[in-house]
Amino acid sequence: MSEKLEPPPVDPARWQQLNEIFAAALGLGPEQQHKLLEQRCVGDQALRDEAAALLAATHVANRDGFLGADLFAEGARLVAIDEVTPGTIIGEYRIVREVGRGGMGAVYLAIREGFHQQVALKIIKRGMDTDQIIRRFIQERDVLASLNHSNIARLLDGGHTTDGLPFIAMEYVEGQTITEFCDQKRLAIEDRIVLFRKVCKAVAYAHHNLVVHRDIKPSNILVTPDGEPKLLDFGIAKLLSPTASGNTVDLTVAGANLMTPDYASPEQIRGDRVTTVSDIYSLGVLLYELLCGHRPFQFKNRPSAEILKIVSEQEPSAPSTAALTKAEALPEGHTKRILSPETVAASRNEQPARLRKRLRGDLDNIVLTALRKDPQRRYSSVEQFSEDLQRHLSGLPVVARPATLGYQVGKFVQRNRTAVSFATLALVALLAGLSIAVWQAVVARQERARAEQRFEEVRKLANTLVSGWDKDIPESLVSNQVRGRIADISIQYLDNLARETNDPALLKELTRAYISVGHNYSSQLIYEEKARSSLSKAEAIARRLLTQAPNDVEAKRLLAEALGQYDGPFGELERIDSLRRRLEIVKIHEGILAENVDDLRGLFDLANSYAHYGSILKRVGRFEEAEGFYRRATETRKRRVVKLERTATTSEDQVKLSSTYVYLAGDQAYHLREYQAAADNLRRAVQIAEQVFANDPEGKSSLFAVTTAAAELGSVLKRAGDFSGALEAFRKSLKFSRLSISRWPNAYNFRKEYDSLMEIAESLHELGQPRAAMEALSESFELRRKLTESEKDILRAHGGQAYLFFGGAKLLTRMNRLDEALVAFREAEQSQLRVLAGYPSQINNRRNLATLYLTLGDLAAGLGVCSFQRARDYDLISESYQYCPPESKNLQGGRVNAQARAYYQKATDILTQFKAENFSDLVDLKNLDLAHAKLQASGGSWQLSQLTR
Amino acid sequence: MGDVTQLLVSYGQGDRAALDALLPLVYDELRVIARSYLKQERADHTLQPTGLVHEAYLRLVNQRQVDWRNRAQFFGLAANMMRRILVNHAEAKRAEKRGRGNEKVSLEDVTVVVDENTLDLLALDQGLHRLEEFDKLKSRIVELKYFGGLTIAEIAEVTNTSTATVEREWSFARGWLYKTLTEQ
Repeated sequence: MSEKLEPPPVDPARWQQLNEIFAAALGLGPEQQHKLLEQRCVGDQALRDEAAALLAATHVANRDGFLGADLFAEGARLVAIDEVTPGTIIGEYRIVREVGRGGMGAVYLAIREGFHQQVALKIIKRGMDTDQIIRRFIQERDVLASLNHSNIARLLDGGHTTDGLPFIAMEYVEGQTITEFCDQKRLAIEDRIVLFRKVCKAVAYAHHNLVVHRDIKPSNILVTPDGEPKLLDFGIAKLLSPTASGNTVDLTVAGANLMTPDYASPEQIRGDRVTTVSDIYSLGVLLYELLCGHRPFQFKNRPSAEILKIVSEQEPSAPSTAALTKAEALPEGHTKRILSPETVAASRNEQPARLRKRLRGDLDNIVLTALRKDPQRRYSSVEQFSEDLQRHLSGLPVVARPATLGYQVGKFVQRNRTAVSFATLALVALLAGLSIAVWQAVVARQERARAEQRFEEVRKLANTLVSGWDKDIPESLVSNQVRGRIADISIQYLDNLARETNDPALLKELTRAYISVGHNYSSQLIYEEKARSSLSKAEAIARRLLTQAPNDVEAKRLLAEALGQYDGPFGELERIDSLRRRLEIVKIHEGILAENVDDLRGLFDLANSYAHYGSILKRVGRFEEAEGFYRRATETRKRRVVKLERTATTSEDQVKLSSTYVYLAGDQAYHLREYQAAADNLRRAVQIAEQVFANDPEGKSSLFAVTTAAAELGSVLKRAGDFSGALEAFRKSLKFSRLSISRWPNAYNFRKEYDSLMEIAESLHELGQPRAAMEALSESFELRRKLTESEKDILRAHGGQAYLFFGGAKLLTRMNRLDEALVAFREAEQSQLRVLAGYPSQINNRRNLATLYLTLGDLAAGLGVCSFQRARDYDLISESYQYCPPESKNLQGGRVNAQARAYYQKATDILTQFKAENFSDLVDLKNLDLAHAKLQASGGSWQLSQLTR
Repeated sequence: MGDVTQLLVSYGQGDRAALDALLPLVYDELRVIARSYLKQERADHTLQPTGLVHEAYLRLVNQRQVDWRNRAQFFGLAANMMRRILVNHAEAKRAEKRGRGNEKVSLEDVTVVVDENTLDLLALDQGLHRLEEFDKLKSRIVELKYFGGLTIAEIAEVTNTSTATVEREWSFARGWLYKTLTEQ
């Protein structure tokens, strides 16, 4: 029929005329009708013909009884036989029996012919197959197909019945509902939590793939006889709400087979947007029930208005309290029974009083955090929820408490709103408004073409948001919060886009955007969770792309990039994961390079991935393996050098060659202690870059390359003890950085003048020229102070100041100018505190401050600054121990030592806190020991209990 | 979520989600209706389908909240669902027959003969879709009458119009459809 031409559109006025004529003609005889037409259609032959034809057709239709009967009986017959009987063949499957029915479909146990494989076959019921439902069914089926997790019942196949109804074949799971399983096995609280965390892991996996379950409840979580939970019905709750065999769903309305509201979040019951956090609420209800036997609320037979009121307003009682109540139990699939404190405790292998005690505190807090009314105040991810349970099991303090960090940050932003510049606020407001408006337009899909166009607009907007904007906003306390909010908005865009598309090119763009937003978040540790979630989305999309196109190099690189970003300022949190990710990055780049041997970029990426992996191995104390990877890094860099030495003709490639030498030398000197080779390579790097610069004095990159290479050469020579060689190199670096500053006064990377001056001062001191050294040092301090003054709103400037003054103070101590050293230390301390105020929890700031206090303590105690002077590398730490025997006589009593003690105490406090938060690496731990020993030796007191708090 | 009355009200206000929640309920009731209808048909009773649908409606909603507008929505949904069930079935049959070179599908394939004339159900469905584009009331009346089995008086009640209007519109629609179908 579709091949036929569309009939011409009907003109409403004409249709109206036709209706009027028809009404008047009805009941008239043929002749009168003829007359009527003559009268009414004067001058309009077409209308007359049409009316006449219509009347004639009506006459014949009447005579022949067209549509005279009705089809109700026929329809009824079809409906009545709408049962797929055992033995029916659907696709490759033979129906065994119906196992569940409800909502919009039915579920059958079926066998794949010839394979003896049992499957659960879900078919939309006849009559439920509206276009919208079918479209969504197919869409969800595609999403489900991307889920591959051992704790999620897998989608195996999909197709159409001969009646044209779509069906899906799922893994058939035989087992008990999770609540039944736990009660029957009388699992203790710990075992229940362990099982529950497996469920969390599966849900988290789905969330990473942007799939929300929407209907988490015991009947959707079956536990197999060997104790593995399997989640059913992922993301299709909206389409099908079948119930597993033998279970019935709570009926909210007599005769109506609606979804039970007992596990639904307030936003679901209100009909608001359902997100991953809604699943967290449902998981909270499930955990509540697993722990104390009751549900937070039981809605059976209550009218919807009342349900809404309860779920939005009433706070559930804590599980520990609920465990002691007596109520009629309504677990799915059970016959009614009475839940008493005794029966509840018994099925958990406990006594009522002990169960209550077991649940009080942490577990109450954890469950109630998941059950918060406001989605934003719940756990922000399932991992976080699950991790808190793990913390509880390991006896660590849990995150759950009345006010979350996010809540506090929100309050802080509110309090400081006036400080945010008007223009920025307006921008945020505009974007937020736009986001909602544009997005709603997209999802409404009223006009497909327009929606697609807007989709493009949103995409552009999202891209603009995640790239570029942050460079224009100076880094400061307030701007970081604005940055965080813009990142929040960007994430909303991206999430929406990600849900809407399957286009690989767009998905790649989205991955890049998620990485970029993750990077923006992670520049401030307060948004750690968000950074992680953004990165894990990037990771998930990249992985999805790779399952579709396993050889897509771009997707591989994106995956590596996403994985690499996890180790931002919070990388140390999970060193095991960090190692796993870094190793995967190595494998990815090895794979890419194998496909395209000696590709410059591939060599660069691979070498960096080796070095990165090595650095993390080093942090966890696996020094030998670390060295192995650094060797691989240097070998790879050498391959790049060889290729570039042979092929580099353009100045761009020459600069690349120079910088490859610099990287190579860095690994050699700092990680393999091959100073001679490193120095040779750096000389070559300087030579190449200088040559390029001589050929093209306007070249910015060659100027930068020569400045860097010379400074690196100086550092390596200093390490090797060649101070006159170092002095020469640093002077060269200084010369080129002055040149670049005169040309590009605002280019940030070139402002290394004060660094070179400080290095020159140190070399001069070592060479026995104290006056010249002091001149260089004063000049360095002066330049840095001026720069900081001109950029005092920029946090990075204060960080730079702290670093330089710390180094200068240590040098002054060695020069035995203790008063000046103390002043410089204080200046460094002030700058460091300022940075810390902007990034309250950033690891490096806190680590720097602790080291600073430790050193200041040594100075005050008259020890001189010996400890970390040369311990710039981790494996040199034992060396610094020898320098500073904590039992030194200088640490005994006296007025000065009171001050030293105060500094040691501060260092100890920071490092103790650090350890408690699980940030410490090997050096931090040794520093803590050191600070502790010194504190004790100087007569201070330090409680072991502080460590465990 | 919510009870059926609330869902019907929401659906009446254009809420798609309410329709999603309603359809399964209507379907399940239709199944009950269908069974009893066939049973009484065999027993040679002459109970109108409407009576059954009405009973179903009463079973679904809270008695005190019975409201004729909601009832009309319910009848409308039931008729529309019947239509989809029949049309899809016919489509499936046609797809099956295509392989055998049989283009036209008549109601014979769904085992009914209407007054000795066979009817192309799919063409009728198309015609109704077209009619709906410029005259919703007419297409709805045909749906209620032909697929829902309602009488003129019942349709008048459901569509909140007079029986005379329903008669006239029905007659027009029938003529127009006949003309459209035979012109093809």
